[in-house]
Amino acid sequence: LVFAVAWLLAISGGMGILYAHQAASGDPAEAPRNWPSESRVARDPLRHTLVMLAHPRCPCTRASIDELAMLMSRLSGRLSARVVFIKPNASDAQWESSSLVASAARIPGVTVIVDEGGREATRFGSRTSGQVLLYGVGGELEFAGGITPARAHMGDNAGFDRVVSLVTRSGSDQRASKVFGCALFDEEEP
Amino acid sequence: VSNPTANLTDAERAQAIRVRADRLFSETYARLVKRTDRLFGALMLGQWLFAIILALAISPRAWAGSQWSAHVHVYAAVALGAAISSLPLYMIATRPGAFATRFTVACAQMLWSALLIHLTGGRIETHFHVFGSLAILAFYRDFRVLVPATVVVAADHFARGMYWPESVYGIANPDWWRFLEHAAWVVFIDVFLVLQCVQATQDLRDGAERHAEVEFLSESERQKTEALNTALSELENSQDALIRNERLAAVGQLAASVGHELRNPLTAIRNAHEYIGKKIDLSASNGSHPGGDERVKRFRGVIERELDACSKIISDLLDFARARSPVRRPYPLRALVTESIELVPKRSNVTLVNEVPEDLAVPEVDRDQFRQVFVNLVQNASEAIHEENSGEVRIRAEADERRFSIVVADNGSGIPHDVRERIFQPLFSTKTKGTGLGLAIVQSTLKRHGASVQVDSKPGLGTTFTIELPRVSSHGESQIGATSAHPVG
Repeated sequence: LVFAVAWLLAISGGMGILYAHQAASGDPAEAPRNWPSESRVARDPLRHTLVMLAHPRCPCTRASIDELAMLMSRLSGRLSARVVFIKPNASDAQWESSSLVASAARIPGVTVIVDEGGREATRFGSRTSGQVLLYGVGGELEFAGGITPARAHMGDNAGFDRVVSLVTRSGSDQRASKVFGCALFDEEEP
Repeated sequence: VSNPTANLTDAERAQAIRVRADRLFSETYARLVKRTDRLFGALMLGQWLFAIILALAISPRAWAGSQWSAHVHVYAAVALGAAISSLPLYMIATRPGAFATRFTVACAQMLWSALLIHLTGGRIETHFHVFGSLAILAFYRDFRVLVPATVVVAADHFARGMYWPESVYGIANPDWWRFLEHAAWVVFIDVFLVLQCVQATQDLRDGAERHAEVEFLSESERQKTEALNTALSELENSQDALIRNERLAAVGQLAASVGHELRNPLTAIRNAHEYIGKKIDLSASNGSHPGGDERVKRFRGVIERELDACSKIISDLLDFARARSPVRRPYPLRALVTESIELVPKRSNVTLVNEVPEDLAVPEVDRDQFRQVFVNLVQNASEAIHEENSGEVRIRAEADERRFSIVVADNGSGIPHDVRERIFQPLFSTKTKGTGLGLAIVQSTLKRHGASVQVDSKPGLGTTFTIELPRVSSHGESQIGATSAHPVG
């Protein structure tokens, strides 16, 4: 019985660590309140523009891309999306040839952009893969956060609901949410 | 043949069936549980391997810019997976079939559900693992295992809802009872699985009872059949013995009659032959022709030899048919063996050795009958040695307080196994000139002395006849069994 209890406690501890890691959000974005004029990412002047900063190799971002696919399906025709995949200076030529990039490119209404040296990520003040920024028709920031409930997990979440409500004007007052994903930059980079 | 089930009352019979059914049920259920334990043992290893492959395929690395490290999912799959599977595997190996083992298995299996759900990013499809696991746990047909399984599922959701609510429900402040929503569906399935477990267990018990009843009936029928077969066998043996005795009795009477009728003409022939022989000898001494003829001498020898053979056959027939009761007198065994050896026809390639000690105790035997026994055994032994081989027949004896043990052993050709069983049967012989009565006379004579004879033979090496003769008490009765004096055949 003692062994069984010790075993159960050890497993519970392990699961707890795993769940804590799953629920640990990345660094939030310090996004500009207006669309950065120096950005080479094109903003849609006719509808909301969603920008997702993503790491092409981050396994956690798979959930963000899947959620984005659902979002675009739900808000079909009312939202333009740009997925900006960061490409560090030290990366190899095959860096952006990942299944994640391919999946994002297949989503209707989504434009995939390769961000050489992470310049666009810096312009948008983002540090975590899966970071979503929603800009209004006038280029003002309306939402910054993630659209998954946890790291690498799909499911109901506040960020998703907020984007939907902002685009459809259905009235959610949440302006931010946690974002889950790998770091966009090396540890030593600012 | 006794039939232990034949005399039971209905109540005793029902009780016996019930006890047997309980035992059958326990044995079958124990086998089923151990088999399910082994299934889960394989599942524990399989899930562990699957989790590692899953982690390596889906989320092998965590990134920070261009730098990477192994993803926490890989560590979780390897280490946490090993931890989850370790205790149930240990229990299955050391305590298969125990309730504690399946209790542990139930907990571990639901922990595996939680881990796999996590490793697959909380996909709704992986949640089917929970319900599949509950169904597999029902293989135990013990609804009690569903309790810890359900508690683990509920506790997992409760803890996650309490500490990391957004990861489960997508909102930061869910109602406290939200975990019950998930648990309720598990309980919903549990209800039907419990019913299934109870029904399956009852089916198992019903099967055991039917099996016990069939066994009981089969055993009863088997015992009856066995008794019937034994009775039939005994009846057949009795009929065979009766037929054999009748045939032997008829042969005995015929032999006595023929022997008696032939003895007188044979005596007349022998007398006539002796007379003619003397006349021929006389003529030969006077120089007449017939006596000097070599063919006459040879034919006279043939007549004498064949007359002796006829006398021997008649003597055997009469000895066997009359079965005279022995008249027992003390007589030294060594002297009796010496007399017997002298009566056996000599063969140049066979040495007859009398090894009976001179100081051996003196048995009480019918001298004539026992001499006939030795003559028959020694002659048979001598004739078992082929002419082209040299051999020997040794007769030895020893005595203790209860019996004499007399051995007649040769190193001849031995007796084939199929022949050995029949050598004491009257009129059975493998010799071209034998009457088939020699060993039958030996056995019947020894029976009348309360003695027995055993034969041990190895084809190609020789044969040993061993006579066990009980020592006779002062009252003239043997110490082992009474002396049998009934005639044979």
